Amino acid sequence: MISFVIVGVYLLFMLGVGIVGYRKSQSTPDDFFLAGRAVGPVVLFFTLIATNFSAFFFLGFAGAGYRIGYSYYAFQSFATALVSVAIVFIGGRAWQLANERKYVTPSELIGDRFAHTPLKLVYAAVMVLFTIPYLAIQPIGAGYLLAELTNGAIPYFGGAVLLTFCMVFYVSLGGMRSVALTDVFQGAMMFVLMVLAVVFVASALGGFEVANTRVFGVRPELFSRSGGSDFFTPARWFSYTLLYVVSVPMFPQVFMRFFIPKTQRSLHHVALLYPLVTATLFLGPVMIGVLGHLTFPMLEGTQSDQILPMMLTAHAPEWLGALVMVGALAAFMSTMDSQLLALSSIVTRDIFVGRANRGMPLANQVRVGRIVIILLSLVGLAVAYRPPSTIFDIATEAFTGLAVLFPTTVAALFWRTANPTSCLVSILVGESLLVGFHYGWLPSFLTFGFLPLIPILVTSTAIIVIGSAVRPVNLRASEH
Amino acid sequence: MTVKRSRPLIAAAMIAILFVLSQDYWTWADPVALSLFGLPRWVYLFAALQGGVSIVVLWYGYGNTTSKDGK
Repeated sequence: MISFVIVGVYLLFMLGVGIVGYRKSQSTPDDFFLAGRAVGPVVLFFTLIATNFSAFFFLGFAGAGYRIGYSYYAFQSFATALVSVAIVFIGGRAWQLANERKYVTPSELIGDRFAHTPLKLVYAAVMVLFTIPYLAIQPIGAGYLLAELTNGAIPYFGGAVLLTFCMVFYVSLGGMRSVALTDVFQGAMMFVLMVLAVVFVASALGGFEVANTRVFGVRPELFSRSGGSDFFTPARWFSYTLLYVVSVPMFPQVFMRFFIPKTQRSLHHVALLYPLVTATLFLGPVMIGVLGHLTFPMLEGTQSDQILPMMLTAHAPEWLGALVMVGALAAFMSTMDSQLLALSSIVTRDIFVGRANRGMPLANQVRVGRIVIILLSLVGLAVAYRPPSTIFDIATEAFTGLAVLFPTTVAALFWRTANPTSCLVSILVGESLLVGFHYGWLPSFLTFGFLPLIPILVTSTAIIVIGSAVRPVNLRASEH
Repeated sequence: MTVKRSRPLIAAAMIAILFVLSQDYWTWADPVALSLFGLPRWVYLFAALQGGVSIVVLWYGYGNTTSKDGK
């Protein structure tokens, strides 16, 4: 009963905050999609953290901790910390250009820099196509969590639908203002509740040292640097780390946050704190996953993605379990609402308005954006209806698809004579290679033991470098 | 060294760090020995490295803010 009350209060609060955002908003794309480009450092910090730490942070990390062990913390936290360098390099430059040229979407920036519409459309299409699987992770996670903590009273898919509808309501009302406001609350809640969760679980199992030593006695490989089943070979470790560094800034919901601060310095404040957060906070879900072997020793595949709610149900008082569940829901919702808004802006601005309805009034663009948010949420739910793989696998494929955009983005931001056609070819070849490796059409020895990301990234970068060296083209947008 | 000229250096350093960490060079931290809170020692090495990333950001980021941001 207490679970239902806490979840109900939380959802009503989110709707209220969403309405506050709506009352402050204006019907312009700048305001709806970017909160008027006037976000301060505190809100930016929480909205970046809340956006980037998703269902994957709660369920995926704990599941990976269960399967792989502490090696997953070392990899995941360090790789995510390095994203802060990308926030400074890529985010800072993107902020400068967007502030001058009033870009709303990443593909607008690319299209304008290169004066190349096909490149802009392909870039936009890749962002949309490869974000949808990651978007679908959120209702999958929400469904698992609600089902576990209500003992099945709310079935998996029913929970996914309930939360998605709530989110669509406040996102479509207030846009980025509502999303950013809810992110502050959701982000703060995630921090506090994750700390409480790990403290309670470890205490119930005899304390941190005793519990870890007990797991070490039965599964010592979970404490090794290479992890369970020797998961992190050197090549795989290197691949996954690079995957995060190059793909996270390419998430449209993250990229668009480079456009929203009032000052560039706000981005630097966030980048400074980011590694400190990853170093501490990421240990929580991984540790709960590792300690899960003491209570649930025989989980397989997608079952292990549910280890966090299972451990809370087993070891935390009901009120705390319900509160942590709300914290996890906050993680799902704060990521999915940002994804919906980012994808909506791309579909509306770059595809709908850009081609078929040039000159559409600004207020109408916002209306179209709201409809697109609803349609995209239905697509996410359709994917979530039958989860195809573990959360970790879904994320890896989606991340690699977005990482292919990294060389083109760097060229657009820093290379004054990059050739747009070579950028277009690099994206098309990169995505083709990804499909080829995924379906086994390309032999696996071509990866040289790394993830497919590495040969794909090398090939995409080489295409741009060679093409731009042979036929340099001066960029159109202002140079600095 | 100016901030702009240091960019390739930072990129090279990042790749070098990634590569070194991907090898087994830190086996000096005995993987069997558990440390504070029952965690393996190398976990603390990685936590410390993330503090190092913050220092890089501090050094580079704050030296490279344009005057257009109103500051």
